[in-house]
Amino acid sequence: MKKLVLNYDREHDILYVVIREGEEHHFDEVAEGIVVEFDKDNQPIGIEIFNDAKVIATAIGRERLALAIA
Amino acid sequence: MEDLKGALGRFGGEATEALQAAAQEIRRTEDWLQERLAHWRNEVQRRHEQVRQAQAALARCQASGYYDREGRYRVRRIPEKMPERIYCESKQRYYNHHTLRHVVVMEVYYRRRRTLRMIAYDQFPEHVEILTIHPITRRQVQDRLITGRWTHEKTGSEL
Repeated sequence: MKKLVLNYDREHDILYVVIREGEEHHFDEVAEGIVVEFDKDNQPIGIEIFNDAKVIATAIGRERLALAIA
Repeated sequence: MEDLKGALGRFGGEATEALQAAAQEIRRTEDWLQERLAHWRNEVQRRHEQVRQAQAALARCQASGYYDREGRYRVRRIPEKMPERIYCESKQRYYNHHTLRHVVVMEVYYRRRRTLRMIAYDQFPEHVEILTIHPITRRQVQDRLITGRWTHEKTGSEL
């Protein structure tokens, strides 16, 4: 399996996940501050997460909450 | 003697008329010069304002920077200067009320086709930091405007 490349811009709190190289054709904002980039074949090639720390903290919080409830 | 008096009288009348006509012409010329003076003063003022705006735009462009997160632009094959060029040249400026960030949209010619691109940036008093660049459709722009997520921002010349 090909490794994902993660880049984190600490100054602006933006996490960028490179799924693979290639030109971005369009993007979809799947959730507030989470942008998925697609190539011309509609395949995801990257994910950009703004306010990364907050988004991830929220996601982890929800996960823990879900586990606690289960 | 009488003839001479008559001739002098006629000459006096004609000379007065000629002088009045000359004086009228001088007044018209003075008016025209005044009007020209006002026109060129306005022109100079207008051009000074254009120079001031161009200098401000240049300063904004020189102060703009973008953060290539570990070669994202290379990975996405985005020309290095494209984000800066969009920031400097675009007149389509918006404010994103969800992210509290500025957005600029411009059509660019790239790889033999025209595409609409957006950049998001943070504005600081002395500089600008470009955060990201994406291709975007007119529909996406319209949707964001309709929902009020984006609103138009005035360009420098409109302020």
